[in-house]
Parts: sequence; structure tokens; C-alpha cells
Amino acid sequence: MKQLFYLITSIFVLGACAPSHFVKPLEHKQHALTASLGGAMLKVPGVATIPIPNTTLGYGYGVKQDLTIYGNLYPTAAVFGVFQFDAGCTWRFWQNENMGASVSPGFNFLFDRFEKNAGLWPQLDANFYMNYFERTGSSKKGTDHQNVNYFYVGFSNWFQLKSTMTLGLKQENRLVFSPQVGHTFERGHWNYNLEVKFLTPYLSNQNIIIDYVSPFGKRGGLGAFFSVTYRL
Amino acid sequence: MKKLIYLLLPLLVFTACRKRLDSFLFGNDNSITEYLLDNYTGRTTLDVGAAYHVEDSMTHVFQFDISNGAVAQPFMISAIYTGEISRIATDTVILYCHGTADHNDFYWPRQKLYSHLGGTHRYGVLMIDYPGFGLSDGSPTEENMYQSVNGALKWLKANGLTNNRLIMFGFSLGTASVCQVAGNPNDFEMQPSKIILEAPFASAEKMIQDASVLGFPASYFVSLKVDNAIEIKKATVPLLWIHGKADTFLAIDKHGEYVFANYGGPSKTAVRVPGGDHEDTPFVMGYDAYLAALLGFILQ
Repeated sequence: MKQLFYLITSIFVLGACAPSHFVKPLEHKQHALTASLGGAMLKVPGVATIPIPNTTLGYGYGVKQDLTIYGNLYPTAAVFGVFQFDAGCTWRFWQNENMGASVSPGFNFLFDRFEKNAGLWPQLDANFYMNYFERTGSSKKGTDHQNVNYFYVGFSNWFQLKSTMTLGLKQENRLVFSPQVGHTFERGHWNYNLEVKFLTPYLSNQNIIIDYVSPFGKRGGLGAFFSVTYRL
Repeated sequence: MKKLIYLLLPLLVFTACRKRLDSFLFGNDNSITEYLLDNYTGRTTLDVGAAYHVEDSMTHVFQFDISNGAVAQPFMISAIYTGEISRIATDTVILYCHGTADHNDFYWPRQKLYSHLGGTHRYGVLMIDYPGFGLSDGSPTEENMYQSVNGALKWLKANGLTNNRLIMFGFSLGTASVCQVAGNPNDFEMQPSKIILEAPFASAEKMIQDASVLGFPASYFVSLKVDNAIEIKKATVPLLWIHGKADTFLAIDKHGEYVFANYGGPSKTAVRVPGGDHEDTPFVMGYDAYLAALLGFILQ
């Protein structure tokens, strides 16, 4: 019976996690389009250990030099009749020559077309990044652009507004905390990003209907994501 | 703005999809062409050994039709009855609603076990494959599952069984049908005199929320309405609940205990089995002790 639920529960994970959005804010008045693929790592019996192929499509805009607003849609959830999007902003509150720190308050909204259940989950992410490679490159057209590599560490928090779960049970996890590490390659207009997220490393992953893969053994899960951003 | 519209359009198209994940709740295998029973070499729920052998003459493989006026084609459900069919009119019968794995061959060892409850063939045992399982027609859905169980009740009734001699026994997924019948007897052909639930799940939504941590509604993923912890509140017949304390799939504290606590009927008995996992509770408990617990409840 266990494996019957892998795909189902994978969708939960789909809904629950996505990579960080805009660790670094965009330039003032800059537009960007983003796409991401990935999710929690699960052992799927008879298949492999794979990250769940969740997808997002997003847009960002640099309101100020240190402030970017963004929104993301979730096509994979949509296939299952669930409209899901998130929106928020990234504010860089500190930076020096090679590093900076930002926070990203936002929210996640889900609505299913079957029973019209709607839900809102506020989210607060924070990241610290550091550039360790910067070089001017040239495109085929002869124009110069900056190539930058940076890594980041941070954490993501989802907040559960409802105090109860099904059967009237108390919601024990009002805060869902997941730290992350990531790396970004900036190449001209394009950013290529890899991120690993440590999903709720303090919660047991035992005696539930799926087998999470976790570096912490019987606690938490591991998410893996790849995303690309095109900055206009 | 145009770009935003271009982004939204495909999403709206996607959202129009009606893909649901209910089918993944059913581990049905309908690739077989016949029930092999003792000759089946695939995986099975238990290995009960020769001590619980059932003679071919006491094993009846048959089908019954659950189509109604709205269905043009026959809708056949495959079943196995152990015992003498002619004695259904006078014997107590156990309707066994199996779990979600494969088909009747997988659960055949359990049917043999129950056929020795209180002595060989003291009780008749009927086990069916739900739609989409084994040799049964149709697709596996919650409603089809209930209809097939109702078809089994109708068949038993037609063979002379009365409510006071009917015992319904559900395991795992099968507990949904038993709770549904016990909670809504007027919707079904018969009402059991007693019910047995082994490793029940509290509700589809409970399973989902436990795994996701987040309090997502079940409707984000499935159309299933299975809610045993609610249905059991309406039950008016005695309950025996068996659950392995080491169940790694439907944890006893997250599922079985809620069903047991919510039971609103006249009499309930709990058997919590130390070391018992989801499938192997009869083995861990010991077949004799397991059958003794069942018999004690039936004879109460």
C-alpha cells in the first residue's frame, strides 16, 4: 500500500517547497523571467531516488536597487486542478563589496477547482550570499557582460495560519522551517541556479506514507532544485 | 502585461485539467487471467502454511453482477467463498474486505486463516476483488468499491444470510467499506451484526496531512472522501479493533487510535499488537492467538 501514495504525497511536497526566489535583488527597473524544476527527494520503489519534478514559472521586477517584487505560478499543481501561486518581495538589507543579505516575505496561495478549498500560507525567507568569482566576458556580438558566481545560505519559513488540522487535531507545526544552500552562475542575461533545501530537519519522517530521503536519517527531507532566470 | 497574460494562459489551461491522484490509492493489479490461490507464486500478505489448508471442494470462485439500470454492460465482480454455500442460510458468515494490494491471490492466505476460525469452516468467508482488482471489471474508485461491497452483501442476502449472522471484517483500505456500511446501514443491502477493523486509517486527509506536515486539504490531490474516524461514530454494532503497534505505514497513534476513540457504538474491544507492522500482525501475534482474539469477539 505504501507505494500507492508516493505520487500523491509527492504533490504535497511539490506544493510545499520551491527554491529561493531572487536571493539578489534585480537592478532598478529590471524585469526577469524565471523557471524552476525540482522538489523533495523521495525513494520511489522500483524506480529510483529522485527529486520530485515540480515546476514554477515566475516574473520579477526591480522596484528599487535593493527591492524586487516577484510572483510564481505552479504548472505541475495546475495539472492536478490546483491553482497555486506565490508572490512576495526580496529586500537586500545589507551588502558590502562581495556579499549581501536579503529577506523575502511573501505568501503562497492554493485553490482547488473540485471542492473550492482555498488556503494561504505566509512565507519568510532569508539568505546571505557571497560572490567569489567576477569576470568581464564578451558575447558573440562583441558586447561586454559580467560573469559572476556566488553561493548563498539561508532558510525558508512557511507559516500555518490554521490552528487545527483534520479531525479537529491541533496543528503542532505552525512554523515549517527549512534551511537551504545554493549556488548561482550569472552569465550575461542568464542566471543558472542550483539549490539544496533541508526540509524540516527537526521533524520525524518516520511512520508516514512516504520515504523521504534525508541527510538527517529519520528526520526531515532533502529538496533539490534547478532554476534559470533571464534578466531583460 | 502581455507577458503576464502569456504566462497565465497556459496555467489556466493546465488548471482546467481534472487529473486526480485517487487511482494511486489503489494498488490494484488486474493483469491476471485466473486466481491461482495455493499455486500463486507472487507476493502474498502472509505465509500461513499447510496447517490452514482449504480443500478445493470448499473453495468457490465465482462472479456476481453489480450493474444497474444506468449501466448497459454487465459489471462483474469476482469473489471467493470458502465454506459451503448451501449453509449460508444458517451459518454465520464473514465478509472480508481486503486491503489495497494486487488482488484476491495476495490475500488468499488470510482467507484460509479465517476459514479455520473456531474450527475448519465453522464460518463461511467471502472475499471479493474490488472493481479494477484481479478479475473484477471496472476501475478502482471509492464509489465503485462501495458498490462492489454492496453487491457482495446482496449476494449473501440472496443466499439466505440475515443481518444477525453477518460479520464484516476490513483490513487497511478495506476498513473504508466496513466503516461506510456500519455508519450508513440504510444505504446498503445488509447491516453487519459485528465489525472487525484491522489496521484502519483515520481518513484520507489524515494520511495526506501527516506526510506533508502542512495542513493541505485532501481535495488538492484526491477526490476520495474516506473518513473512517467520522463514519465510525455512527456505528451501532460491536467493534473489534486490531492494530500493530509498530505499523510503519498507518501508525497506530495517528490512525487506529482515532478510529477506536471515535467509535460510538455499544461495545468495543482493542487488540494492540506489540511489534506488529502493517501486514504481519497475525504472524507477529501468532496465528492461534490472533484467531482466538477474533473468535472471542465473535462469540461475545
